Amino acid sequence: MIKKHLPLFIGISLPIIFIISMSIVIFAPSLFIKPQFNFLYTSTDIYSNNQTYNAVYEINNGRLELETNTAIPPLPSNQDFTQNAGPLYRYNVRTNSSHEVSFDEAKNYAIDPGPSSPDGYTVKYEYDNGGLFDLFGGNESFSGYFIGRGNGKKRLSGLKNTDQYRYRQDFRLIGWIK
Amino acid sequence: MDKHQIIALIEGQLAAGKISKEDLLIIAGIKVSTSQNPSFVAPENNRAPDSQESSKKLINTFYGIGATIAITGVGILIGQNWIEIGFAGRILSTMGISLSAYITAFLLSKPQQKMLSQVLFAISAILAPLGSYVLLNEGNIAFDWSSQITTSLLLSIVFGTALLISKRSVLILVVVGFASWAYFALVAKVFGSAIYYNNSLQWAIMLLGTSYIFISYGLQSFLPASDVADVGEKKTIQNVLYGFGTLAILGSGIFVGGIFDLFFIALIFGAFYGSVYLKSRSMLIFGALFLVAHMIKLTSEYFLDSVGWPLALIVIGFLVIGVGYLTFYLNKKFISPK
Repeated sequence: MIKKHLPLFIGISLPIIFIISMSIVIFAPSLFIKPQFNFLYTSTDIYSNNQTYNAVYEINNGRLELETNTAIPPLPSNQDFTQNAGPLYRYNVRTNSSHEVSFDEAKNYAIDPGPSSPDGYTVKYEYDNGGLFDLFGGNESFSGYFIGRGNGKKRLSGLKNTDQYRYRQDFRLIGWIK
Repeated sequence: MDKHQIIALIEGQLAAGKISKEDLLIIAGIKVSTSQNPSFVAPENNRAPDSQESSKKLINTFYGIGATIAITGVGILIGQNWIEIGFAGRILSTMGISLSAYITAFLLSKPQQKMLSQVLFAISAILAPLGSYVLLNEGNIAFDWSSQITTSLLLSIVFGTALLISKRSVLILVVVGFASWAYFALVAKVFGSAIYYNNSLQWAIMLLGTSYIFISYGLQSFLPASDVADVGEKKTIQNVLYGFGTLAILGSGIFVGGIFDLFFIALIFGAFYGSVYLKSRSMLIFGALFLVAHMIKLTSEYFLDSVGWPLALIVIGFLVIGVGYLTFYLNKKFISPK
C-alpha cells in the first residue's frame, strides 16, 4: 500500500515529520527545567499614576530589609503615598503557585539576591505576539515571565498581577530563597 | 503460446496489479494516454460533440457565477446584519448552508450531476470556516491558534471523508487547503515569534511546497480518473498543486539568501526539469519568472558595483530574452499537447 502510493505518502508525511521534529527541538529542553529554589517577589497593586510607594525592598547580607524609596522624585501636589511597599509573594517553583507572605515572615528567609538562582536559573519577561498572520485571529499571546536555563524555559503561570492589563514592570524579583 | 495461455497470462498480470485495464485499452487503441502515467487516459473515440461541450461549459460557468453570488450574499448578510440576525441567523446562514450544501452534494451522485455536486462542495467548504468561527465566537472561545488547529483538522477530516467516498476532484483542493491551514496554525503554535528567526518561515513554506508536488504526483495512482471529463479535472488540479508547490518553494527560497543563493539556482533548474518530466506548464512559468527574478537579485547584489547599472541592464535584458525563448521552446517541445 505504502509502496504503491509512495509519493502521496511522502507528501503527507513531510509536514507531519517537520512539525514533530521541530516540536521536539523546541520543547524538549523545557522538559529538563526543574528549578530547586523558590523565589520572593513583589508586584504592585497600584493602578493610578498618581500613587507610589515610599519604601522599597532590598537584600542586605542575605536578609530582606525595607528601605526608604530615595528614587522618588519630588511629588506633585496631587500625588500621594499609598503604603510602605508593595505586597510580597513567595513563588513555589514546583507547584507553579504564589502565596502572599508578610514582611515579618519574609525577613527571616535566607535570600540570594541573584539575579540567577543558586542552581543557575533566571526569570525574564519574553514578548511574543504569536508570530504569524495576526490578521487571521492568531493573536494568542505567548508573552509572559519564564524561568529558564540554557535553551529550556518554563512559563511562570502562577504569578500575581502580571496579566495583560498591567505593565510588566509591576513584577520585581527580590531574591531566591535558600 | 496459444490464445488461452495469453489471456490467462494477461489475467494473471491484471490480478497482480502489474498492468491496469486502462493499459489494455491503450493497447487496443480504445484509449490514448495523455500523460506519462497510464492511469490518466482519455477515450479517443468517445469525444463529445462540440455543441455538447460548449453547452456543458456554459452550464458550468453559470454554476460558478451562482456559487460566487451566493457566497458573496452570505458574506454581506452576515457583515451588515451581524447583530440583527442573532446567533440563529448567523449559524443558519453559515454552518446551516454549509451543512445543507455538503449533504446535497453527497446526494448528487449521478455522473451528469457531477459539476453541480462539486460546486456545492465548494460552497460548503468556503462557508464551513465561517460557520466554525460563528460557533466558537458564540461559545466565547477565542479563535486562536489552538482553536484554529482543531477547526482545520476537523474540516480536513470531514472533507477528506467526502473525497474518499465521492471522489469529487474539487475536494482534493479543499482538503489540501484545510490541511495547509492546520499546518500553518501548528507551525505558528510551535514556533511562536521564533518563526522569524533562522528563515524558519521560509523553510516551513518550502517544505509545504515540496509536499504539494509529491501529493499532486501521488494523486495519479491514488485517485485515477474515471472518465474523460475527470481526466481534464484531475490534470487541472494537478497543475494547480504543481503551480502552488513551485511558487511556495521558489517564492520562499528566494528570500533565504546567503550561500543558499547558489543552491537556489539548482532549484530553479529543478523546476525546469520537473516541468518537462511532469508536463506542468505552471511549474515552467514559475521557474522562468524566478530565474529572471534571481538573475536581477544576483546582479544587483554581487555585480552592480563592478559592472555598473548600464552594463548590468544590458546583460539582464539579454538573459531575460534567453529565458523567454527557453520557456517557449520547452513548452512547445515537451509540454504542450501535439
